Amino acid sequence: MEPEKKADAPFNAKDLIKPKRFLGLHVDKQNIIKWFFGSNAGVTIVVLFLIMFFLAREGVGFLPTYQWELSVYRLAGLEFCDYVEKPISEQVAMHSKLKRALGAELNTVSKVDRDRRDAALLAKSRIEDKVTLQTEPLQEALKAKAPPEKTDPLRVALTQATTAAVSTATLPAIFTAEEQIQLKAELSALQPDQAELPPFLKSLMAKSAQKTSEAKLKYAALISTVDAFDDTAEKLTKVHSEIKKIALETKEAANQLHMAEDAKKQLLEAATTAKTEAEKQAFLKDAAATSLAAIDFKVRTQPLRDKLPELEKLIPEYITAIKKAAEGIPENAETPEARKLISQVRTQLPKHLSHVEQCTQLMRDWDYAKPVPITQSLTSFLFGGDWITNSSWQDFYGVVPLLTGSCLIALVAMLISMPFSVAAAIYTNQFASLREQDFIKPTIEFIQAIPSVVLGFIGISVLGDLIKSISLLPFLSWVPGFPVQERLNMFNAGLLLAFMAIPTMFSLAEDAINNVPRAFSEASEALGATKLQTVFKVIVPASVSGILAAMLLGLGRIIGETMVVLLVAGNRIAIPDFSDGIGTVFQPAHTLTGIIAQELGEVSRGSSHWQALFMVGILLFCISLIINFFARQVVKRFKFHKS
Amino acid sequence: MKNTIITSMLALAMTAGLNAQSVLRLRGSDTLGAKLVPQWAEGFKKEGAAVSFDIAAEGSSTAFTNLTSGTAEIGMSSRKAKEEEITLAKTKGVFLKETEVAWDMIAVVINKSNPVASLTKKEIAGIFTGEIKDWSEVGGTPGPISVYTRNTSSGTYKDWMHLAMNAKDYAASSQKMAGNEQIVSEVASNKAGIGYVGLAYAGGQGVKTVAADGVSPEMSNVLKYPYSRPTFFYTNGEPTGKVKEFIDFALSPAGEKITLTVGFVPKSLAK
Amino acid sequence: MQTPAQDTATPGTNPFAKQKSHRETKESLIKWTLRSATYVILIITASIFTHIFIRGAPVVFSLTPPFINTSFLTKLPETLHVLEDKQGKKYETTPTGVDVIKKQLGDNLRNEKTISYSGGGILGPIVGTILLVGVCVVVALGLGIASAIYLSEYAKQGKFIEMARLAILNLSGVPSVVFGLFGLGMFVLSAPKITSHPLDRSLLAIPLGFGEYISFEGWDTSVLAGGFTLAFVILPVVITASEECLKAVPQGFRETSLALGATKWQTIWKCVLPFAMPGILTSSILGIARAAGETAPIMFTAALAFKDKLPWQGDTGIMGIFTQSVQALPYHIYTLSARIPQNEYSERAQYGSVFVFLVLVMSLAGASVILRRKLRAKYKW
Repeated sequence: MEPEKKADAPFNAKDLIKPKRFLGLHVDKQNIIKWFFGSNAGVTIVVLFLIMFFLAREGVGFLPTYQWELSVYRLAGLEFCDYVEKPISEQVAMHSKLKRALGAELNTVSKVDRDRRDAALLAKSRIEDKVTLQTEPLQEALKAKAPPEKTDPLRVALTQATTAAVSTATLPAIFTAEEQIQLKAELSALQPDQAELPPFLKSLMAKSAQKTSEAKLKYAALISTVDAFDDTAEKLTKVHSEIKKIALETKEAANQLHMAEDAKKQLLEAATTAKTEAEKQAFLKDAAATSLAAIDFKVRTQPLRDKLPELEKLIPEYITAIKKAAEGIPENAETPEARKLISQVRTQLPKHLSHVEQCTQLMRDWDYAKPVPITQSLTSFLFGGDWITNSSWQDFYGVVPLLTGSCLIALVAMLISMPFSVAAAIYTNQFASLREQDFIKPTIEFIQAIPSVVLGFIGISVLGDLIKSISLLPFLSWVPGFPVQERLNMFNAGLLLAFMAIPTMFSLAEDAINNVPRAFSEASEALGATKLQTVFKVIVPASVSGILAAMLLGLGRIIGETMVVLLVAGNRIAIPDFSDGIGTVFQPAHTLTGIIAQELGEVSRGSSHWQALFMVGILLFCISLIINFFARQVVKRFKFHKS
Repeated sequence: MKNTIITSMLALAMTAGLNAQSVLRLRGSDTLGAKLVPQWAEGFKKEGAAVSFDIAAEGSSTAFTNLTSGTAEIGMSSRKAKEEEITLAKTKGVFLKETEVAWDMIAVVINKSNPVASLTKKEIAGIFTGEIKDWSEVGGTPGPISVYTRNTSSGTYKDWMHLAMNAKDYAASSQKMAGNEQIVSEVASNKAGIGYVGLAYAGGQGVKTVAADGVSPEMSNVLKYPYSRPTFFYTNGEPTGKVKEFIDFALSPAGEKITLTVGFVPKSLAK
Repeated sequence: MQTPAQDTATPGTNPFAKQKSHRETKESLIKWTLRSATYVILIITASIFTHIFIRGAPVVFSLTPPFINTSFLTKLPETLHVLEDKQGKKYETTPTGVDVIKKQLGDNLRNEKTISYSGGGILGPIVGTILLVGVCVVVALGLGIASAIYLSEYAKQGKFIEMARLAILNLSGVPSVVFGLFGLGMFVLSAPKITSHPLDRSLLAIPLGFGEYISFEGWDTSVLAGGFTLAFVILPVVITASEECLKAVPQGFRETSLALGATKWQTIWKCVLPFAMPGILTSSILGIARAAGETAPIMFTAALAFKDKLPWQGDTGIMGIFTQSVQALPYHIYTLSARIPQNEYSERAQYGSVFVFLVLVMSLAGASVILRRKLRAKYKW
């Protein structure tokens, strides 16, 4: 969009005629028209500033609000409690891993029979579902104690339906052919008023129960270790929940006071605008009745500090207990799964112990009155790892989980869309025949017109299940992250966004290639280069700035897209677990744009949550400006001078 | 600027009076507003009432914001109004009046092919707080648990925290879904999924309910079941006119019959 | 499909033909890679359209006369009731039809299911989208064409013009959800309005004397707020397209007009705009298609999940149409995808709405492409 310099009119008529008047003023009417259009051209600038202004108006209040919330978090002692919370939750996580390891070990003995039982029960419930139409009248009749001559035809109908259902059902291969026949026979004969399960099913149940107890016997040592591990934190958890309760009460009181202050202000305000004297008096009375007793946080947090000696005593106890419990963890396990989990616990343990030791020091150093600087509300917004809202403990507005979600999805989308759009641009511009071009270009540009919400719908209704069923194919099990558990995940969203971004990237890249002067390719070909050499050695390098800018603008589109990620990304507000490697992309995530769309409509205006969402908007706005800036720089730097 | 000219012209024309009384605007809880209230509205209209309805269900918090700003006649809520909401409303001259309309049971749903049939309350709390991460820890087929919850502004989100999770926070790995139906479809498509929905939605395809501490979520268990809660209509002062008629209809035998078919527990049963 | 550059490389059946060299094989391999990448995009596009067409078209069209299912286009969305009798037969019906069938079935009724938004048609959302797009077009075209005239006819290189261009560029990169936030902050909560009772949230209320105030309290969620927000979303597209069309009018036209003594304004009005206007309008259709497809900007400014009457029903007056919130097609599709289950009963509403929406947007985009081509052929300078 390079502005072309206009040649002025060949001769200036103004010099020849008398000065123009408009409404009796010495103003040229033409100038007024010019100003009118000029002011309209300024609208875009104004709009840009208005966007900044309104985002800032609703969002900037976030900093003091969040500062206040964080300072209450400290004053009321919630911070103190969270020092203990961290090691406790680590212990819970390790315990969960041990339990899973135990489960894997127990499986070596009990899995086959449990699976057989579950498969049989699943088959039974499937068949029961299919014949509910026949079962219901029979049940009604039985309930009404109808005579046998009435129930018998119903029974026959039911058995017929069941038999039909059974004959179409396929049983898994964990049953031998004989067993399948037996099971099918038993299932066909099932009646709703049967007191006991038929013999084969019963034997499956019994076998499974027996194997389970056998397994428990075999791994009794491991079981007791896991239980001992669980018990270690019991005392600590008890004290922790006691102090949590105290802190929460203090916080509640602080919130009440804050609300009371607000209410009083509002009541007084309402009184000044009240229409009748009686109303005014009522408001004033209410205002006077609101008590504003200050809270002495020092006194309130004293019980927490009083607990410190007890905690100091409990923590070494806990450390010895957990060390002892950890000794019981076997060196080796039978299943790879359990080995992996146990080794994870082993590596975590020293870190955990050091955290526990640190926590004593942190608690000793804790000072309820240490002020929270306003910069902290900004840093904990930008670098905070938790986005927790509507919590019963403490709300945190850390944007990192959303940012990582947005970035990972964008990464997936870029990795997919870049090769495709560049390849298509090169092919269309350099290799395709004119007729082919006429067909490719409008079709790809047509994609741009597909509304994003439609793509989101495709993601939910088709693509998610498609990805999931592809990931279940046995020969693809080597792909990291397969089989996919969640159909709504980052990969799904990334795929759709890649598709969405392709037209932008393609058209701009194609333009860039098209802008390379013809002389370049002619010169190259005259020197004997083949077509391919010309394309990759001359044309693409010459247009690389344009292609790069196209990619950047595509990235801008991807980051800013809302509906697809809202519908398809899975909305899990957590920093993804990167231990899956590339498979991480099959986890769900939440995004900057998605969180605004999902939460803004539902929070009350002016609350910290509302303000936080506008802050996210400001962040998005800045990101889009930065991307635009870079795109422009790229074009400028590698600017190609047309002769 | 041109747009301000247009604006003021339009604004001038906009001074026409507010909507007439014949429109009932209901705002608030998704639990009530997605299924039960539209059915009541249809039933009410069938009885010959000349009213039209304007229903938006974005979460209980919106019930109070809309009542306070005067953009709703009835607020639907699956939780009681907070003290601050009542005060804020009062300063705007809106006096919140609460009417209990029906009981809702929140059912825990899992995939139909999941062999787990019953969980203890402690296990349920553990699953939703993220302390329990794997089905093998509660006797199911080994595999990580996918937890689906409502989004944060929903009344059910908060209620569930208090009813089932000892007021602890949700696991960070939980996925926030827009509504009950979306939880059902996700759980139905994910063998390792678990979520909670209003009983009205628990009969969806591909999911089954789990008993909590041995009590299964059935209407007859409404008072025994640990996760039952009342739901409310809020109005500005004592309901009058069409608002009153509508609320009366919801509590009448005809209304309660609708309540039952939709899967809520009528107020008269929860005694 | 042969490209001119490759003529000699085609292997013939002639046994004396030159053997393909290693390099040539490599070249054709790379060329085919590029080609297949291109066609993968086209195939995916085609399959998405086919999928929606196959699932959605039967909702709107039928093979038997009158070939078109008007009720889907002329009814408001409503709850779908599915009744099942004890023989397993299922009846899909409307809220009013339920009682009739229930009476017929009597004790034979086994269960009843309801699926929100899945019955009836989508007239409400269609009307809402048309209203929103209407407001959007008026505002965007007014502002867009005026500023394009300035940029192309009056502007000389300078600070102001550079800034204006930069602003257009940046504006086009702003995410649509940020426009939604802006619309909420500006049009919903603080745009000026004339009222006799300013709300508490009003930023500034200027008394006009006769009991009325100009109050900066916003227009609430309304067609007006949504339309204005959408207008700013597509403003950069409209300005760029209009400027291109104005520039395409040959310089000679202007020079001739000025030489004959016409003023600048007369020149623009008589000699430039008439030739540029068809192009501006057709290019702007593309912007309109984009506005019709956007969801995020109207989420907080105009859209409503459910409404059981059309905007002009009820005694709200003409202006009332623009001051109320409406259902809109994109938001309706969002509701249908996120708020109701995917099953055989909801499929009709879901795919039907998506199909109608896609056809609407695509025919706008297609019309713009075709018209532009025709215009190019007509005005060749």
